[in-house]
Amino acid sequence: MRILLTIITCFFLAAAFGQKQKFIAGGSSTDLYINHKVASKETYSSIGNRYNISPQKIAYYNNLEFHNGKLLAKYLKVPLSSQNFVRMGDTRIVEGLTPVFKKANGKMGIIGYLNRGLMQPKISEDASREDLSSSIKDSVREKTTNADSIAGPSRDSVTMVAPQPVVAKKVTAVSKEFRIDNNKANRKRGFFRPKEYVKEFFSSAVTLTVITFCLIGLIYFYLSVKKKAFLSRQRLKTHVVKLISTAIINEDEDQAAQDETFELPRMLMKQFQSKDVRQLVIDELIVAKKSLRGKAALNLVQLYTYLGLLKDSLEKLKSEKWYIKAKGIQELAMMDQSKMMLPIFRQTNSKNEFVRMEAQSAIVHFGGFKGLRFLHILTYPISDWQQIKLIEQLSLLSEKELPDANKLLQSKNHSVVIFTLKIISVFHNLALHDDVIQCLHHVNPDVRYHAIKCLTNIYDDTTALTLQDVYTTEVIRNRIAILQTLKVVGSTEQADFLYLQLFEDDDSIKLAAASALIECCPDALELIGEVSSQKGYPYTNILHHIKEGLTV
Amino acid sequence: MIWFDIISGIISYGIFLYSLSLVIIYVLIGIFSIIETVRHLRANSFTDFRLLASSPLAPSVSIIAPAYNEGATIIENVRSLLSIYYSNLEVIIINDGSTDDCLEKLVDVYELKKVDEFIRHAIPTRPIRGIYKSTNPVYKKLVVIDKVNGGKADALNTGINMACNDYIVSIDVDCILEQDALLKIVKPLMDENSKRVIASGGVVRIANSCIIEDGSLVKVVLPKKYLPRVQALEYIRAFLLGRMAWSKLNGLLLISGAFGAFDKDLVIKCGGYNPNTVGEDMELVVRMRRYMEERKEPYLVKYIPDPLCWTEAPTSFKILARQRNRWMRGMIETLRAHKTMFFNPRYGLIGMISYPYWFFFEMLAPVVETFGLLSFLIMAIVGLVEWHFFFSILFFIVAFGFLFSTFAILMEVMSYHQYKKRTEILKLLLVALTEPFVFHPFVVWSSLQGFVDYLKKKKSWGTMTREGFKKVIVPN
Repeated sequence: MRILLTIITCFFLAAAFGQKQKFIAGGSSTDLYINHKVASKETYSSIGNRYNISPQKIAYYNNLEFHNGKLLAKYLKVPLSSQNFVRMGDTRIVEGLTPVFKKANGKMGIIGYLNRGLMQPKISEDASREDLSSSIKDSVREKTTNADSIAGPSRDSVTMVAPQPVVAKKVTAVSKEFRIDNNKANRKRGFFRPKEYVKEFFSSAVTLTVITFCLIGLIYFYLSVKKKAFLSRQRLKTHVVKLISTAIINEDEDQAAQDETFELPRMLMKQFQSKDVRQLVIDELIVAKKSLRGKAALNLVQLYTYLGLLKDSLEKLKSEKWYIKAKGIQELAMMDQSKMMLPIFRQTNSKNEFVRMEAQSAIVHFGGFKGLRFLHILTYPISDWQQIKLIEQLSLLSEKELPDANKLLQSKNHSVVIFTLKIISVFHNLALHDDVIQCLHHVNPDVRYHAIKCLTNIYDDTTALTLQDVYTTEVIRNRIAILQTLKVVGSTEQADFLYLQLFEDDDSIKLAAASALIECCPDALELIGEVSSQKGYPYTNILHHIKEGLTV
Repeated sequence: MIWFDIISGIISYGIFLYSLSLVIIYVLIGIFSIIETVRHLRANSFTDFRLLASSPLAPSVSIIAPAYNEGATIIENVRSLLSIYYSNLEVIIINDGSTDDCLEKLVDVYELKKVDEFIRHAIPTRPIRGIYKSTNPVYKKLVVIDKVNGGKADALNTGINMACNDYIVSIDVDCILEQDALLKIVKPLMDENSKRVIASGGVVRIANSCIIEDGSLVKVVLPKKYLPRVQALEYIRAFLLGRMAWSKLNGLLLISGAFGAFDKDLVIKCGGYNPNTVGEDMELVVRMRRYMEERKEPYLVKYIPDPLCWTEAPTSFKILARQRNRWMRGMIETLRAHKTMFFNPRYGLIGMISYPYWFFFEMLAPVVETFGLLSFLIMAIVGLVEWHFFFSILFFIVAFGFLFSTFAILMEVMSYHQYKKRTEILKLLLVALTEPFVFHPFVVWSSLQGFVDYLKKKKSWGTMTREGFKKVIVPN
């Protein structure tokens, strides 16, 4: 992270190095001027403003007539006077002023500093008060007479030849205000120069520190609130668990007696208006319900409705937020609220995957295999995770047959076809053998793979031959799957076919073919042994592998 | 002078844009990380991971753990792996030519017997000396391969060749896994149907000072020593913020070698781990992504913020230097090997964002940082910039770093809250304050040495000695 900041400093350095514009004065020592190259859109006012001199003076100095329009001259001489120029040796030299150079005896040297008049330099201790007062007076007089031009045009044009502040070597004491004002002034004039943003950096750092301390405060506040909530939850939980335990063991059929059992303890009664407390009760009911069946489970559902918690779950079901809606569906399903099947069914094809998954689970919970009718309308893929979850739910049911499975096997949603194949496989729906065989010609290789796997559990006499037929058109993964299936469903009829596969390029196919051959052909060991003695590696290793497997 | 001005201008404003981009990236990282973590936590509340453990339909997984001279801890570590409850699982330990008694110990304790198993050579590796399986059915999931030393990548490739299952999970054998780590890392592989999930990873945490019993983590404790402690903070920042955000964008280039799950079929198609790099974990992910991008197949690399794996961090500067040196060399090697992706729109987000990010802001970082700091310091000393400016910037830097670390700690507290004691949080905050002055300069220096070593074509991994975990019986 700190790389970022170092890079910023690196930028500052580069910017600091990039300050090389020089002012070179012309004229005699008593009549100094700077040759200014006029940029497009520059006016007398903008130039005067930049050099801290009245625009009329510039026009007059160049024997030209003053006007506010565009300048025709390519160069203008800008006079240097006490107002905008501080001579070398003058005690008013301050940091931030731009040096002015002059060539003398073939050498270039600093003869003074350009004072752009946007601030008044603080005079060093040995400077005379008279000098200062006269300087200020001059400055004020000049500015008053040229007030219009100073307030006039924009300074944008200056950027073209923007002089940069250079740290004066001969700096005496410098006031802070002066530096800041100078920086602000320069910033308006051109490039971003980080050196001029010391104050901003410092204040940014202070701000960051303040934010950091706020975050630290937030961490400890959060920890404190969390701990308090935990302790409070633990206290309440004791009462809730007690209430649930009483409800579970209740054998009363009489409504009045039941109501008495379900009466909230005082401790809970006080806080039952709180959503958090109600949620705590729902959560505990769900935890308890998961491991219960029969009358005890029914009691919990009755307790749930008696306490009016159904209303909470229904509100969640109506929520726009996916995680609240999904939570509501989960609660309704766990509390066997099958009367809510219709609104939940509508969510089985929700665009949010979590709402969709919870709704599908709820519908299967309510309707078992019949609940899977949502598969006919499902347009979204059904994930492997969700498939496992639903099959787990279905495995708890006594019924084992999926209605309209043949239609589902023709679904345009390929994940639905795969899911159906898994159900057929897990529940051994032998009647669907022919429909599964049709899937061996499906366009999607994943569907075909699952069809091959499914046939391991629902095969008949024709299966092996059919698999053998489709083998050559299959991808490697499916070929291996076919060989593994043939290991279970094959017979001596497949021996020749399997023997040929021993000579495929892929080692995994060789191994799978050898394994299947061992199951289908009584002479397989000899056959593989022969190949091994003729061809050596990898058949020798495969033979050892097979023998090892037989030993185990 | 004009040329100097132009060059300095280009540098100035180039770097300004660079810095600005980085600021934006970090802000986005923070935002994406929050969004993704919140979403994950909410989604997790509906997930019962136990379903996977017993389901016959769960994806089959082969854990691959290379071991080199791990004799001191190997028995406990393998026991930890065997205790993972998952029905479709095999555990493959590769003894990568250890010179200690690692193999002998395994043979004795797990009743291993040399077998004549066939092993495919889908990926070329160094020769195998033997394959061992247990005669005790209790350890039927265990396979031990003894091979000639060839480095971590070569050992992992041997494991891939041996693996029978659909997914491989590579793991550092000395890592301690959370009880449900495997379930959590496998689930993302099953969440998508429209896109192929090619790899999945999770958060790695620092285990120093934690209490470990029988290869399981009993109690999480903040490391007592300074170096591991600061690395604990560093890992929180990197895993909870950086990687979560890249995961949200599907731009993750790195799944930690300490614990990551991969689609075996694709790994083989891509040629397995590259034994010629010391950053084999990153290189594999980049290669797999490149493979998928070139074939225009939709895919995802998933990442979850759950702490899954606990590893021992270097406790001495010497070992830390070796580790960071190696990380840098690995990164350079990976980026260089896949330079064709650099700003190449053919590779989508990876080519246009992930790769350039790693190149500019991870690989070049130590160089630019050192250059920046040193020249700035020199300029302050010779008077080209004023000291008050220097210290303002320094203050800004430290404040920014501290803020970022504090934000990471806040995220940790609000999400998984592994360090329960308030004093531990305070210690983490204090360590965040000292990091810029002690730990960070050292890491930068080590990375620079990595640069130099890369240029010298140094290939060694460097010995990684470990202190071993604290084994304390927790009082009742």
